[in-house]
Amino acid sequence: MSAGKILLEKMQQEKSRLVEATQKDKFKFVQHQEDDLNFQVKFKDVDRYGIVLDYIAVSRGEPILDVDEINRRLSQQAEKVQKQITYLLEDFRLIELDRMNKRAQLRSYPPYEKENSKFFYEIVLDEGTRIHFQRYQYSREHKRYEKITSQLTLEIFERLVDDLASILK
Amino acid sequence: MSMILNMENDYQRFQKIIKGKIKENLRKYISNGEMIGRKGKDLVSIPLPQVDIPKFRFGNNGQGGVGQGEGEPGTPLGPGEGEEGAGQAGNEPGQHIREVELTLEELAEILGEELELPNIEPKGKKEIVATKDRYSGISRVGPESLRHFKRTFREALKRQVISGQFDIDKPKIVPIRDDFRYRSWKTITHPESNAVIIYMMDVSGSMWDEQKEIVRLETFWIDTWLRYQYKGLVTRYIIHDAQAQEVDRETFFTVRENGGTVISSAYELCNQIIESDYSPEEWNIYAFHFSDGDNWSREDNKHCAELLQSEILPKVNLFGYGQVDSTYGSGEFIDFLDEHLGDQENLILSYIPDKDAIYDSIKDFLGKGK
Repeated sequence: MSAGKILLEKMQQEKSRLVEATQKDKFKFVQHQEDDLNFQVKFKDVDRYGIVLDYIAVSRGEPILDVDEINRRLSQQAEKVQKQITYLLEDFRLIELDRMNKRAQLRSYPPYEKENSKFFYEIVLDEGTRIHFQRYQYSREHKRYEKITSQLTLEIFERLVDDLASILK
Repeated sequence: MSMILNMENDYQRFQKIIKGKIKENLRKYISNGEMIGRKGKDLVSIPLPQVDIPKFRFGNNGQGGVGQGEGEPGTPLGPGEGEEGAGQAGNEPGQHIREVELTLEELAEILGEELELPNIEPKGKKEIVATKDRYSGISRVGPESLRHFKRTFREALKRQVISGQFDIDKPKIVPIRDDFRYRSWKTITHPESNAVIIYMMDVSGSMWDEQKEIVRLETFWIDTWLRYQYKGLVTRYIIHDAQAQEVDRETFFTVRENGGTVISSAYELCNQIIESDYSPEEWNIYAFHFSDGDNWSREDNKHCAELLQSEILPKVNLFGYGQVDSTYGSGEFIDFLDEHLGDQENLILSYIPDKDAIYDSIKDFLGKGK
């Protein structure tokens, strides 16, 4: 069974565990370990059709020590993100590759604009061993970025988790 | 003489009209870079499509009159009537928009008047003394290249008249060695307030061409105004992503990096440049930084605020921070500075979401007369 499917099962279980009304709208958190990969998912809700997701984070156990190797991997991983994750209606583009801080930032381009706001996905790659997926909203009125949830179908969620894992491998 | 005066009056009137037109459209010129085609170091050319210069045009009135040359009696003079039908498209360029040349000084005057910018009061206990050589004296010795022909001739004439060698019927002046006069120079010293502008720009991956164009336009107008206010203006350029480096003007506006953003790297370099080259006692120092405000971390924001408060702000006349919008929005750096250093008199923060905001932003930066 794929990591995405296992996580979905865990999320359903977590949702049924927190049935009380007070906890219904709270964010829930599940994690899963597979080989040397650790998956973490924070979400708001899940049902038969889809998921209201806050973020997905995948990390690899062992750190890479060589700086050149880290930067080489960051470039490769950024390339893979742009090629593989093309099913979210907004494609990714490399925005910053910070060799000094060993970090790459990719955002969906162009950002979706609605009323006075911009919406976009962001994937941050850290040190070649961590990957983080999140959606943001920028409000022109408040001049501020805000983390927001993404609505994904179960199929897309599974595919995304598996792709993020394969990018790290 | 009166003709010259009339021409002068007409010229002054024309200049007035042009200045009025430019003032009317200044907001447009400021926010549209293509409108200002920089022309050399001291001149700018501004297209003014609205000004029509009166000119003579030949009409078709000359139906009659006397003609000469070939032709039978009764042949009409002048061009005949055009034939109807489809003609071919012309291959000549159309009429161009009229361009008016202005000195940067005139442009700065217009900017100052329209934006109601106060004149700057230079700070600094000591004024810089500038020296300049002026050819204002005459000497009996000197290189042949500096020989003053008129003076030499006059001396020769004087000598010949006094000695009775001058014949008014056959005037012939021959200078001898003793008559030769040469231009000589004096070194003049005069006080001059000197100023330096240090421009800093975030060139990280999130600063795209559109954002850099805003910075280019804004710095053009800041430069124009400060050059008008100070005789000797020096400009230095710093770019930064996660690291800062000093570059020349061209690189400043064209370079594109894709690194992260560590703003403090630029502030550190700016402080180093001031400390090594520009004593605040002697120089009027201006620093302007432009970024989309998406700094690497809140820790670096804090470090920037510390650097500004303890190192940079005490040394500069003015520190201007302009925050532009990236494709994704604008970071929190401007709010952070406002929250922590908003009460500092010589720190000016300006939010520039698009080109239209440049006009007000220039007013923000230069409106205090610092």
